[in-house]
Parts: sequence; structure tokens; C-alpha cells
Amino acid sequence: MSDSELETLLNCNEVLRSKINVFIEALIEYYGESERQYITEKFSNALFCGYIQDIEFNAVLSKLEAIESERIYDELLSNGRSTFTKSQLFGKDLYGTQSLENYRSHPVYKYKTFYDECILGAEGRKEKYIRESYEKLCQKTSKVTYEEFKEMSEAGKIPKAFENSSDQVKEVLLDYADISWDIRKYENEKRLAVEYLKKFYPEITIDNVEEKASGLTELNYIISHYPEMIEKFERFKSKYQSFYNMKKYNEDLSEKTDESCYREYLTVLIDYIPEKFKGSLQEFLTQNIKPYKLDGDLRGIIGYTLNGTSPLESFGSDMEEKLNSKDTAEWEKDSIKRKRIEYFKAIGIDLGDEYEKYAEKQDMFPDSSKIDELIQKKKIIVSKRDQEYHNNSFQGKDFISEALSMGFLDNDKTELPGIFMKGSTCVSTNVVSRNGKYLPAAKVLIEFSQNNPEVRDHFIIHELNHFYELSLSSVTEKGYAGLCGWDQYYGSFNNQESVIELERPKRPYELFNEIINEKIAQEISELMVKKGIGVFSKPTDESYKNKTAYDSTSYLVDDFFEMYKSEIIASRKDGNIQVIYDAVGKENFDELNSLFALHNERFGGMRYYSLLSDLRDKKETENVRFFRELLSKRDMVLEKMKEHYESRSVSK
Amino acid sequence: MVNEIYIVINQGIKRVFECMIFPLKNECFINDKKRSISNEKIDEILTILSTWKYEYGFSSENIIDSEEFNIEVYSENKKTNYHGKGEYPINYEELKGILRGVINE
Repeated sequence: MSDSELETLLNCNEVLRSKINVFIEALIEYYGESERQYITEKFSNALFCGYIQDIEFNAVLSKLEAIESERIYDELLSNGRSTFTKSQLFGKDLYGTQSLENYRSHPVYKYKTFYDECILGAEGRKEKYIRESYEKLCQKTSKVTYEEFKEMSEAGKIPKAFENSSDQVKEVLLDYADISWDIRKYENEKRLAVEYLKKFYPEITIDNVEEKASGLTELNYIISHYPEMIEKFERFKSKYQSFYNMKKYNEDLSEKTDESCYREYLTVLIDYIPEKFKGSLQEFLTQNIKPYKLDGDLRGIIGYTLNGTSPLESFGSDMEEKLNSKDTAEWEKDSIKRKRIEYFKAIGIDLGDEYEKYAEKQDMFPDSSKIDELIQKKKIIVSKRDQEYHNNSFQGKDFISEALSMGFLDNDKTELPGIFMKGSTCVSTNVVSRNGKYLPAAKVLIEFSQNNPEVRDHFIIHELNHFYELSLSSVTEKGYAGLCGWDQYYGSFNNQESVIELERPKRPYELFNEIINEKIAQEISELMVKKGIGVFSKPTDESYKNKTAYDSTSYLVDDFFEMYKSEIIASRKDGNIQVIYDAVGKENFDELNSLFALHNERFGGMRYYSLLSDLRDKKETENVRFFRELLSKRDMVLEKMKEHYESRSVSK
Repeated sequence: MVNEIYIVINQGIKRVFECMIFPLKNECFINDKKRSISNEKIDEILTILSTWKYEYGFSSENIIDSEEFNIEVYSENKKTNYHGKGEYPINYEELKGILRGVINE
């Protein structure tokens, strides 16, 4: 990606909003000019949110740093005086040559660190170390002159003002004056420099490097330009200062929330851990020590972060059930047993690696119902951490405050964390009240990253079409419900702040609805491509065809879509699903819908590629036979739909 | 012994991961790219999966195009399925992090 494309990612929200009308115009063109007012009014209740995940944001900044660093290196080396490659001088990382952000890690910098001291000579270095130590001492006391300090350093003589001080004070003074550490440091720098130089100058040794260093004109030329390179790099970074500030803001927030929630977890944990750890954990909590200093064995049983599942949690009732069930695969049982053995060894009970030896001693086992309780409490804390971070991150807090100012009534705190953590591109439905009337609203969230820019325009169209098809059917004090095309959605106003596990039915037309939305979106994208309009993607056929997870089910609905397009489009607007029921018969519609479940059961995920391979190779397999049965069922349903449609036309 | 692991994660129309892992060959195909995969990474994936419920259900709330995962692990003569859409295990992102790491190697 170029600099400007990377900058677009950093500014994705601003750029998305500045270009959104291009996409809305494409929708208007597809649905007709008569829809302009409807679409414009409807989209006034959409909050467009272009966002980028933290990991991607940091990667983009690093990529920009890498590109700029390459430019600076190329400029330096463009005079043709250097026979060294960039990688020999500056090293390599994930993005190519190591950037100037990490200049201290550059291989040639090891030589520079040594050379800067070497050229001072032995006396010059000694003078420097004494001067630097003296300046440190002056921050504590002004009672020592430089000459006294130097004499103390060279001969161990205590300065006059401290002659009658305690031995402890004299020891501290002598410590300041002791430059042996600096001298050892220089020797180490010399050794590292020789290690580096020997690759290119095999004759250089630890004994002759000081003599030979001034003759290494090529390298000395390079290292003399470091201040200039760093200055150019810092000037470049200052252009993006606001983004570095955002990065720092998020990093500080993440550290703060991680630590405070981990500490909260430790406070809860104290009731669930073996007795031998309780004292040290209590002490740890009261003294406010950093989590990484926690007892190693304790961390071994409770986990190092909130994210994983700890050995202690392997004693929960879900895990117990798996171990006791004959349906559980052996690899799963082995995994759970290994975690439990890890727990026992961490608490000091080592009976070897055979689980059966531990299983004999059930009195050692933690109570599974108590562990279930702990797991539930941990889930609540993890949810709290995710909400505290994502709802207050530089992107999250802006989206939340904008939604509030637009009058969005559903302020679910779990919404953005769930979306940001997955990098989802989706529509998060909502509701607003305008002039005493409830209207559908939504955040339209578009994730930006360096991956797959070629399909971004199409993904935006797909989501915008979902919003176009959004309708509201009911609003109560508890929540709201509606249709998105033919798919049901439900929202709640209870401002869920804790993790609640609910049994929810599968949305009955979800898959069918998605492929139809996708087919409509492809037609809209085609309009843009034909006009040569590309906002984030190049306008090519490849940008919208066969790029999605639903294309494998397209065969079930291609003919249906072509035959009943106008009824389909009419039925998906404002919750008018009855239009398509009337056109083709609800039972027939439901029967076509049922084929999606059959397809997914047999060909879901990667199994679809096996089918494609069998079809391509003209093999007669069970997959191919099943596929033909599906086609036959589909054709029968289409025939029934046609009969219903025609009988309807006749009776009119 | 685990013979094959299939991982499919979609977000609406977006294919996030399509992955076939063959532990016995330390090979995987992930988003159309062939990669090698170490025993350590395979063990990490299986350890994570062993802590999951088999079904996290469909959260039919208010998100259109939410993420859905379908994972199948084949071992000896058993198939173990994991599925969820809208509800996810606590270490779900950890699994995705491992897959991203394999892609970036």
C-alpha cells in the first residue's frame, strides 16, 4: 500500500463519511430516483462508523515509519559511497529494513555506540564518566566541588564537607564516584562492535579495533549521519502526531483497565484458591504490587491474563462432564487431564504424568460448583474490562457520544466491544424517536485494514443495503424489534452491564436473507463498476463477484431472484414480507428457506470445496448425489412458486 | 490422535478464516495459502478448543452480519463440533490470534 492509502486507513472514519454519498447515490440509482427522498431521510438516522482495530492501527503507523525510513536510508546511500546493504547496516523486521523508530537496534548502531566513546581516548572517556557522575551527584548535593569529586574518583578521598559523615553516607558518595561500571560498559560495547565489524573486516580484533576504527571511513560516514536521519524521522513523525497521541491514549487506557480488572479478579479469586496461596495473595493485594510480581506457582494455576482458561478452571462442571462422557473425543479428555495435572504440580502435588494417580485422590480436587461460580464471576469481570476499554477508546467514545447526540435509544454497553474485538463489518440496529414517532436507526460499522481493500466498496454497499431494508415493527419499554429485509432482529433497552446467557432461537430466514441482500448488493456494485466508480476499491468485476461467504448457496436462489425480483425488492422494504408470501406462497417460501439448512449441514464451510472438486472431476459421490437432490428439491419448489404466482395472476 | 481440524469463521459476507489443518503432516491451508504449522501451535489450538462448550447458540440480537464460527475436529472415528454466532468463548480471540500468527509466518 502507498503512503496515501495507509493514511486513509488512519483517517478511515473521516474518509468514509466524506465519501458515503457516493455509495448512497448508487443505491438511489438502483432503486430509482423516486426513492431518493425515502433513502435520504432514512439514512439521516444512520451513524457511519469507519474504524480500525488497534493492532492494525499500530501496524499502519509502523508501515509508514518503515516507508519513510527507507526513503531516508536511500537518500543517505544514494551517493554510491557505501558498499554495505541496508540490511547489513540497519537490520530487518516484519516490514523490511528496520525503521528509525528502533535505531538503537540497528546492527551498525552497535558500532556507533562504541565509536562515539572510542574517539575520546582513554583519558577523554574517564573525564566524561567522572563528569557525568558528578552531574548526577549535584542533583542531590551542592557541597562537593568537581575537583574534590575527581579526587574521590581517582584516589578515594572523601570531600571535606563529608569528612565527619557516617560510613553509610561516605559509601554512597564513593558509589557515585566509582566509574568502573562505565568502563565495563565500554568494554562490552567494544566487544559487540567487534562482533559486528568482523563480518566485514575479519582482521579486526578486540586488541586492534580502537586503532583501526578511525580508518573505517565508510561506516564512519554512515554513523555520522545518525543525528540528521533521526531528526528527519522525527519531523516525519510530527506530521502524524495526532495518531501517535491516539495510540498512546489507547495503550495507557488498555494498561490501566487490564491491571485494574486483573486486580479485581485476584480479589474475587482469593475465596477459590488453595489455602497455601491465600496469605501471599492477600499481601500482594494490600501492597498494590504489580501483577507480574505475583507468585509464579499461583500464576501457574490462575493464569497470567484474564483471557485464557486457567488450570484451576479445568475443574469446572463442564470439564467434568466432558471427562465423564463416552462421547467426548480422547484428545479433549487428554487436554483437560493435562491442565489438571498442571494444577496439581503447581500446588506442590507431583504424582507424575498419569492422571489416574491424581483421580484416586478426590479430596484434593477443587469443588466443581465453586469453580463454576468463579468462572461466572470471571466472565463478568472480562466483560467489564472489554467495555471499559472499548467504550472509552479514542474511536469508541466518539461513536458512543455521536449516537447519543443523534438520539439513539439503545445504549448497549456490550455492543462496541463485541464489534471492535472481532473487527466486524456490520449493521448494529437501533431506534430513534422523531416527532413522536419511532424510526429504525443503526450504526453502520465498516472495519478498515490493509487486508482485502479490493472488496471494501462492495462490503460497504452490502451493509448500506441492509440499512435500506431495515424496518421497525414494535417498540416497548423493554426493547424493540423489526425486520431487516426478511430477517428478524431484536434489541433491548436494559443497558446490559453484566454477562447474561440467554437461550435464543435461530433467526429463521437469516441465511436466505443474507444471500438475497448479497445478490442485490452485487447488482448495486455492478452499477458502480460499470460507471468506473471506485472509492476504496478499484472498479473491477473481481471487486464484487464470488468474494463472499454466501456465494456457495447462490445456486439455491439465482432463478428465484431473477423470476421474482420486483416482488422480492418490494417485500424487503418497510417489513413488507407479505408481498413475497403472497407472490410465491408462504409454504413454498419456507420450503426454499429450508434448503439452506440442508445445504449447510452437508456442504457448510470447507466441505463445499469437496463438492466443487467432485463436480469438476465429474465424480459420482454421495456429495454429488445429495447436491442433485437439493437441485431437484429447489426446482420442485420453484415450480410450485410459479403455479402459485400464475394462479394469483389469473384470479386477479 | 487428531487427523484433521476445519475452522470456518465468517462475518456476514466476509470470510475471516477458512482453515484446514492436517496435524499429522504439520500442514495447513489457511485462507487459500498453504503453510506449515508446528505441533506447539496445534496443541495450543486443541487446548483452547477443549475448554469450549460445543454450542454457543445463535444470539439473535440486533447485529446484522455478526461473526459465526464452525469448527470440526476429526480424531480416530469421532467428530467434535464447535459452533457459535453472537456468543463466543472467553478465549475465542486467542484462537484467532494463533491463526493470524500462522498466516503471518
